[in-house]
Amino acid sequence: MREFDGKLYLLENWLRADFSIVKAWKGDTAGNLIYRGTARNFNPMMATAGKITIAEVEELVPVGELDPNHIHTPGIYVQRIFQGKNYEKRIEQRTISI
Amino acid sequence: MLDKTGIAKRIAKEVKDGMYINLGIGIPTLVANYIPAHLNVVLQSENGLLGIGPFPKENEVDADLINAGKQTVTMMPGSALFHSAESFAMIRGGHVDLTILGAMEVSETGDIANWKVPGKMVKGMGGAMDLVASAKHIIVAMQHCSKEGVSKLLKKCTLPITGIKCVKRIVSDMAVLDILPGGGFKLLERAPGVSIDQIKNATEGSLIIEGNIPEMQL
Repeated sequence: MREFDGKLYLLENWLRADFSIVKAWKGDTAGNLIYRGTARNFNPMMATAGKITIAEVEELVPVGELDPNHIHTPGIYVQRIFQGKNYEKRIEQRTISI
Repeated sequence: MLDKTGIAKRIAKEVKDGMYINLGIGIPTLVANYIPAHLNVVLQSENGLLGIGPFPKENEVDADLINAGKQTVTMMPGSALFHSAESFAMIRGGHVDLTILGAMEVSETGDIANWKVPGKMVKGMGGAMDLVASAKHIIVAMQHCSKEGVSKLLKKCTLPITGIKCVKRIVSDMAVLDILPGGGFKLLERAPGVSIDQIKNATEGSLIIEGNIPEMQL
Protein backbone atom coordinates (compact mmCIF):
# COMPACT_ATOMS: atom_id res chain seq x y z
CA MET A 1 0.00 0.00 0.00
CA ARG A 2 1.21 3.47 -0.81
CA GLU A 3 -0.42 6.86 -0.35
CA PHE A 4 -0.78 9.39 -3.17
CA ASP A 5 -2.58 12.69 -2.52
CA GLY A 6 -4.14 11.30 0.65
CA LYS A 7 -5.55 8.19 -0.98
CA LEU A 8 -4.26 4.66 -0.39
CA TYR A 9 -3.33 2.61 -3.44
CA LEU A 10 -2.45 -1.04 -3.75
CA LEU A 11 0.80 -1.77 -5.60
CA GLU A 12 1.19 -5.15 -7.20
CA ASN A 13 3.95 -6.99 -9.03
CA TRP A 14 3.70 -6.84 -12.81
CA LEU A 15 2.55 -9.88 -14.65
CA ARG A 16 5.15 -11.72 -16.72
CA ALA A 17 4.19 -14.89 -18.55
CA ASP A 18 6.35 -17.47 -20.34
CA PHE A 19 3.67 -17.64 -23.00
CA SER A 20 0.86 -15.28 -23.95
CA ILE A 21 -1.84 -16.65 -26.20
CA VAL A 22 -3.96 -14.03 -27.95
CA LYS A 23 -6.61 -14.04 -30.64
CA ALA A 24 -6.93 -11.27 -33.22
CA TRP A 25 -9.05 -10.59 -36.28
CA LYS A 26 -6.30 -9.82 -38.79
CA GLY A 27 -2.55 -10.15 -38.63
CA ASP A 28 0.42 -9.91 -40.96
CA THR A 29 3.57 -11.98 -41.22
CA ALA A 30 5.46 -9.33 -39.19
CA GLY A 31 3.13 -10.06 -36.26
CA ASN A 32 1.13 -6.84 -36.42
CA LEU A 33 -2.41 -7.43 -35.09
CA ILE A 34 -5.84 -5.87 -35.47
CA TYR A 35 -8.68 -6.94 -33.18
CA ARG A 36 -12.39 -6.68 -33.90
CA GLY A 37 -15.12 -5.15 -31.73
CA THR A 38 -15.05 -5.82 -28.01
CA ALA A 39 -12.87 -8.89 -28.66
CA ARG A 40 -9.93 -6.50 -28.21
CA ASN A 41 -10.39 -6.27 -24.40
CA PHE A 42 -7.33 -7.74 -22.62
CA ASN A 43 -5.55 -9.07 -25.71
CA PRO A 44 -3.20 -6.08 -26.31
CA MET A 45 -2.00 -6.14 -22.68
CA MET A 46 -1.60 -9.90 -22.70
CA ALA A 47 0.50 -9.66 -25.85
CA THR A 48 2.90 -7.29 -24.09
CA ALA A 49 3.22 -9.55 -21.03
CA GLY A 50 4.49 -12.72 -22.68
CA LYS A 51 8.11 -13.70 -23.20
CA ILE A 52 6.71 -15.56 -26.20
CA THR A 53 3.39 -14.34 -27.55
CA ILE A 54 1.43 -16.65 -29.81
CA ALA A 55 -1.27 -15.02 -31.92
CA GLU A 56 -4.12 -16.77 -33.68
CA VAL A 57 -5.71 -14.66 -36.41
CA GLU A 58 -8.79 -15.14 -38.57
CA GLU A 59 -6.96 -13.76 -41.56
CA LEU A 60 -3.17 -13.75 -42.06
CA VAL A 61 -1.88 -11.37 -44.76
CA PRO A 62 1.59 -10.56 -46.17
CA VAL A 63 3.57 -7.66 -44.67
CA GLY A 64 2.43 -4.32 -46.10
CA GLU A 65 -1.25 -5.15 -46.53
CA LEU A 66 -2.43 -3.83 -43.16
CA ASP A 67 -2.71 -0.05 -42.80
CA PRO A 68 -0.16 1.01 -40.12
CA ASN A 69 -2.75 3.51 -38.83
CA HIS A 70 -4.97 0.62 -37.80
CA ILE A 71 -2.53 -1.65 -35.96
CA HIS A 72 -3.53 -2.36 -32.34
CA THR A 73 -0.62 -4.62 -31.35
CA PRO A 74 2.72 -3.87 -33.04
CA GLY A 75 4.55 -6.97 -34.21
CA ILE A 76 7.43 -6.48 -31.74
CA TYR A 77 5.26 -8.21 -29.13
CA VAL A 78 4.38 -11.21 -31.29
CA GLN A 79 6.76 -14.16 -31.74
CA ARG A 80 4.43 -16.74 -33.36
CA ILE A 81 1.39 -16.27 -35.58
CA PHE A 82 -0.99 -18.59 -37.38
CA GLN A 83 -4.32 -18.47 -39.14
CA GLY A 84 -7.00 -20.55 -37.43
CA LYS A 85 -9.61 -22.54 -39.29
CA ASN A 86 -13.18 -23.79 -38.93
CA TYR A 87 -14.28 -20.81 -36.84
CA GLU A 88 -17.29 -21.35 -34.69
CA LYS A 89 -17.79 -18.21 -32.63
CA ARG A 90 -19.73 -19.16 -29.56
CA ILE A 91 -21.90 -16.63 -27.76
CA GLU A 92 -22.40 -17.02 -24.02
CA GLN A 93 -25.43 -14.72 -23.65
CA ARG A 94 -27.29 -14.33 -26.93
CA THR A 95 -29.52 -11.41 -26.00
CA ILE A 96 -31.97 -10.21 -28.63
CA SER A 97 -34.36 -7.27 -28.86
CA ILE A 98 -37.58 -7.92 -30.69
CA MET B 1 -41.97 -3.51 -2.26
CA LEU B 2 -40.43 -2.93 -5.66
CA ASP B 3 -39.55 -5.70 -8.05
CA LYS B 4 -36.34 -5.54 -10.10
CA THR B 5 -38.04 -3.45 -12.79
CA GLY B 6 -39.27 -0.99 -10.16
CA ILE B 7 -35.76 -0.54 -8.77
CA ALA B 8 -34.44 0.04 -12.32
CA LYS B 9 -37.18 2.60 -13.05
CA ARG B 10 -36.42 4.55 -9.87
CA ILE B 11 -32.67 4.59 -10.60
CA ALA B 12 -33.33 5.78 -14.16
CA LYS B 13 -34.69 8.99 -12.62
CA GLU B 14 -31.18 9.76 -11.31
CA VAL B 15 -29.78 9.94 -14.84
CA LYS B 16 -29.03 13.40 -16.20
CA ASP B 17 -28.41 14.67 -19.71
CA GLY B 18 -24.83 14.34 -20.96
CA MET B 19 -23.73 11.69 -18.46
CA TYR B 20 -21.25 8.92 -19.16
CA ILE B 21 -22.59 5.92 -17.24
CA ASN B 22 -21.32 2.46 -16.41
CA LEU B 23 -24.03 -0.09 -15.73
CA GLY B 24 -23.20 -3.25 -13.81
CA ILE B 25 -24.61 -6.71 -14.40
CA GLY B 26 -28.19 -7.55 -13.33
CA ILE B 27 -30.68 -4.85 -12.25
CA PRO B 28 -28.31 -2.03 -13.37
CA THR B 29 -28.44 -3.34 -16.95
CA LEU B 30 -32.24 -2.95 -16.83
CA VAL B 31 -31.86 0.77 -16.05
CA ALA B 32 -30.96 1.42 -19.70
CA ASN B 33 -34.54 0.47 -20.68
CA TYR B 34 -36.02 3.32 -18.60
CA ILE B 35 -33.71 6.25 -19.35
CA PRO B 36 -35.97 8.91 -20.93
CA ALA B 37 -35.43 9.13 -24.69
CA HIS B 38 -34.82 12.89 -24.65
CA LEU B 39 -31.70 12.48 -22.50
CA ASN B 40 -28.43 12.11 -24.36
CA VAL B 41 -26.31 9.69 -22.31
CA VAL B 42 -23.39 7.45 -23.24
CA LEU B 43 -23.17 3.99 -21.69
CA GLN B 44 -19.73 2.52 -21.03
CA SER B 45 -18.95 -1.17 -20.95
CA GLU B 46 -15.65 -1.86 -19.22
CA ASN B 47 -14.69 -4.61 -21.66
CA GLY B 48 -14.04 -1.84 -24.17
CA LEU B 49 -17.04 -0.02 -25.61
CA LEU B 50 -18.33 3.51 -25.18
CA GLY B 51 -21.80 4.01 -26.63
CA ILE B 52 -23.68 0.77 -26.00
CA GLY B 53 -26.78 0.48 -28.18
CA PRO B 54 -29.86 -1.71 -27.70
CA PHE B 55 -29.67 -5.49 -27.82
CA PRO B 56 -29.35 -6.64 -31.44
CA LYS B 57 -32.07 -8.03 -33.64
CA GLU B 58 -31.57 -11.69 -34.61
CA ASN B 59 -29.82 -10.74 -37.88
CA GLU B 60 -27.54 -8.17 -36.16
CA VAL B 61 -26.01 -10.54 -33.59
CA ASP B 62 -22.20 -10.26 -33.62
CA ALA B 63 -20.07 -12.55 -31.44
CA ASP B 64 -17.39 -9.83 -31.34
CA LEU B 65 -19.73 -7.26 -29.85
CA ILE B 66 -20.67 -7.98 -26.25
CA ASN B 67 -21.04 -6.08 -22.97
CA ALA B 68 -19.25 -6.81 -19.70
CA GLY B 69 -22.01 -9.27 -18.83
CA LYS B 70 -21.23 -11.17 -22.05
CA GLN B 71 -24.59 -10.25 -23.59
CA THR B 72 -24.67 -9.42 -27.29
CA VAL B 73 -25.12 -5.68 -27.87
CA THR B 74 -25.03 -3.10 -30.66
CA MET B 75 -23.19 0.20 -31.02
CA MET B 76 -24.62 3.72 -31.23
CA PRO B 77 -23.54 6.26 -33.85
CA GLY B 78 -20.34 7.77 -32.39
CA SER B 79 -19.36 4.67 -30.43
CA ALA B 80 -15.73 3.93 -29.66
CA LEU B 81 -13.98 0.61 -29.14
CA PHE B 82 -10.83 0.24 -27.04
CA HIS B 83 -8.80 -2.19 -24.98
CA SER B 84 -9.23 -2.81 -21.28
CA ALA B 85 -6.33 -0.60 -20.15
CA GLU B 86 -7.93 2.33 -21.99
CA SER B 87 -11.25 1.41 -20.44
CA PHE B 88 -9.83 1.45 -16.94
CA ALA B 89 -7.93 4.65 -17.66
CA MET B 90 -11.27 6.38 -18.26
CA ILE B 91 -12.73 4.78 -15.16
CA ARG B 92 -9.70 5.38 -12.91
CA GLY B 93 -9.32 8.89 -14.28
CA GLY B 94 -12.79 9.82 -13.06
CA HIS B 95 -14.27 10.41 -16.51
CA VAL B 96 -17.28 8.18 -15.87
CA ASP B 97 -19.96 10.32 -14.20
CA LEU B 98 -22.16 7.64 -12.73
CA THR B 99 -21.70 4.00 -11.82
CA ILE B 100 -24.72 1.85 -11.08
CA LEU B 101 -23.99 -1.56 -9.64
CA GLY B 102 -25.44 -4.32 -7.54
CA ALA B 103 -24.36 -5.27 -4.02
CA MET B 104 -24.64 -8.12 -1.59
CA GLU B 105 -23.95 -5.86 1.40
CA VAL B 106 -23.41 -2.15 2.03
CA SER B 107 -22.18 -0.68 5.30
CA GLU B 108 -23.35 2.56 6.93
CA THR B 109 -19.98 4.13 6.03
CA GLY B 110 -20.37 3.31 2.32
CA ASP B 111 -18.29 0.13 2.12
CA ILE B 112 -19.57 -2.29 -0.51
CA ALA B 113 -19.29 -6.07 -0.84
CA ASN B 114 -20.47 -7.33 -4.20
CA TRP B 115 -18.17 -9.98 -5.57
CA LYS B 116 -17.57 -12.99 -3.38
CA VAL B 117 -19.36 -15.27 -0.98
CA PRO B 118 -16.75 -17.41 0.78
CA GLY B 119 -16.95 -21.03 -0.33
CA LYS B 120 -18.76 -20.23 -3.56
CA MET B 121 -16.99 -20.34 -6.92
CA VAL B 122 -16.66 -16.92 -8.56
CA LYS B 123 -14.80 -15.84 -11.65
CA GLY B 124 -13.45 -12.72 -9.98
CA MET B 125 -14.21 -9.18 -9.04
CA GLY B 126 -14.22 -7.87 -12.59
CA GLY B 127 -14.09 -4.11 -13.00
CA ALA B 128 -16.09 -3.34 -9.88
CA MET B 129 -13.05 -2.54 -7.73
CA ASP B 130 -11.83 0.14 -10.15
CA LEU B 131 -15.32 1.50 -10.69
CA VAL B 132 -16.16 1.95 -7.02
CA ALA B 133 -12.75 3.48 -6.31
CA SER B 134 -13.08 6.11 -9.01
CA ALA B 135 -16.58 7.04 -10.17
CA LYS B 136 -17.85 10.46 -9.19
CA HIS B 137 -21.22 9.10 -8.17
CA ILE B 138 -22.12 5.53 -7.22
CA ILE B 139 -25.67 4.24 -6.91
CA VAL B 140 -26.25 0.72 -5.63
CA ALA B 141 -29.24 -1.34 -6.75
CA MET B 142 -29.98 -4.06 -4.22
CA GLN B 143 -32.48 -6.04 -2.22
CA HIS B 144 -32.86 -4.59 1.27
CA CYS B 145 -32.82 -8.06 2.89
CA SER B 146 -31.72 -11.56 1.97
CA LYS B 147 -34.28 -14.25 1.10
CA GLU B 148 -34.08 -15.27 4.76
CA GLY B 149 -35.04 -11.73 5.80
CA VAL B 150 -31.58 -10.72 7.06
CA SER B 151 -30.65 -7.07 6.48
CA LYS B 152 -28.01 -6.29 3.85
CA LEU B 153 -27.66 -2.66 5.00
CA LEU B 154 -25.23 -3.19 7.84
CA LYS B 155 -23.04 -1.45 10.39
CA LYS B 156 -20.10 -3.37 8.93
CA CYS B 157 -19.94 -5.67 5.91
CA THR B 158 -19.35 -9.33 6.71
CA LEU B 159 -18.39 -10.43 3.16
CA PRO B 160 -15.09 -9.60 1.41
CA ILE B 161 -15.08 -5.90 0.51
CA THR B 162 -14.98 -4.52 -3.05
CA GLY B 163 -14.39 -0.92 -1.98
CA ILE B 164 -14.45 1.25 1.14
CA LYS B 165 -16.36 4.50 1.73
CA CYS B 166 -17.55 4.75 -1.86
CA VAL B 167 -21.33 4.22 -2.06
CA LYS B 168 -23.29 7.47 -2.13
CA ARG B 169 -26.85 6.28 -2.70
CA ILE B 170 -28.84 3.04 -2.44
CA VAL B 171 -32.07 2.18 -4.22
CA SER B 172 -33.46 -0.99 -2.67
CA ASP B 173 -36.77 -2.76 -3.08
CA MET B 174 -37.92 -0.84 0.05
CA ALA B 175 -36.33 2.59 -0.01
CA VAL B 176 -33.99 5.24 -1.40
CA LEU B 177 -31.22 6.08 1.05
CA ASP B 178 -28.10 8.25 1.02
CA ILE B 179 -24.92 7.35 2.87
CA LEU B 180 -23.98 10.40 4.91
CA PRO B 181 -20.32 11.53 4.82
CA GLY B 182 -20.07 10.92 8.59
CA GLY B 183 -21.80 7.52 8.29
CA GLY B 184 -25.41 6.35 8.49
CA PHE B 185 -28.23 5.53 6.07
CA LYS B 186 -30.37 8.64 5.56
CA LEU B 187 -33.85 7.63 4.49
CA LEU B 188 -35.05 9.72 1.51
CA GLU B 189 -38.01 7.84 0.04
CA ARG B 190 -40.15 4.79 0.73
CA ALA B 191 -41.22 2.26 -1.88
CA PRO B 192 -44.97 2.35 -2.55
CA GLY B 193 -46.84 0.69 0.33
CA VAL B 194 -43.76 0.28 2.55
CA SER B 195 -43.88 1.85 6.04
CA ILE B 196 -41.06 3.51 7.92
CA ASP B 197 -41.29 0.79 10.57
CA GLN B 198 -40.76 -1.91 7.93
CA ILE B 199 -37.64 -0.09 6.72
CA LYS B 200 -36.41 0.30 10.32
CA ASN B 201 -36.82 -3.43 10.92
CA ALA B 202 -35.02 -4.26 7.69
CA THR B 203 -31.99 -1.98 8.30
CA GLU B 204 -29.29 -3.22 10.70
CA GLY B 205 -27.03 -0.19 10.24
CA SER B 206 -27.94 3.18 11.74
CA LEU B 207 -30.96 4.65 9.97
CA ILE B 208 -31.48 8.40 10.00
CA ILE B 209 -35.04 9.63 9.58
CA GLU B 210 -35.73 13.35 9.40
CA GLY B 211 -39.08 14.94 8.63
CA ASN B 212 -41.64 13.52 6.28
CA ILE B 213 -40.48 10.61 4.09
CA PRO B 214 -42.38 10.62 0.79
CA GLU B 215 -43.26 7.62 -1.34
CA MET B 216 -41.20 7.10 -4.51
CA GLN B 217 -42.66 8.47 -7.72
CA LEU B 218 -42.12 5.96 -10.52
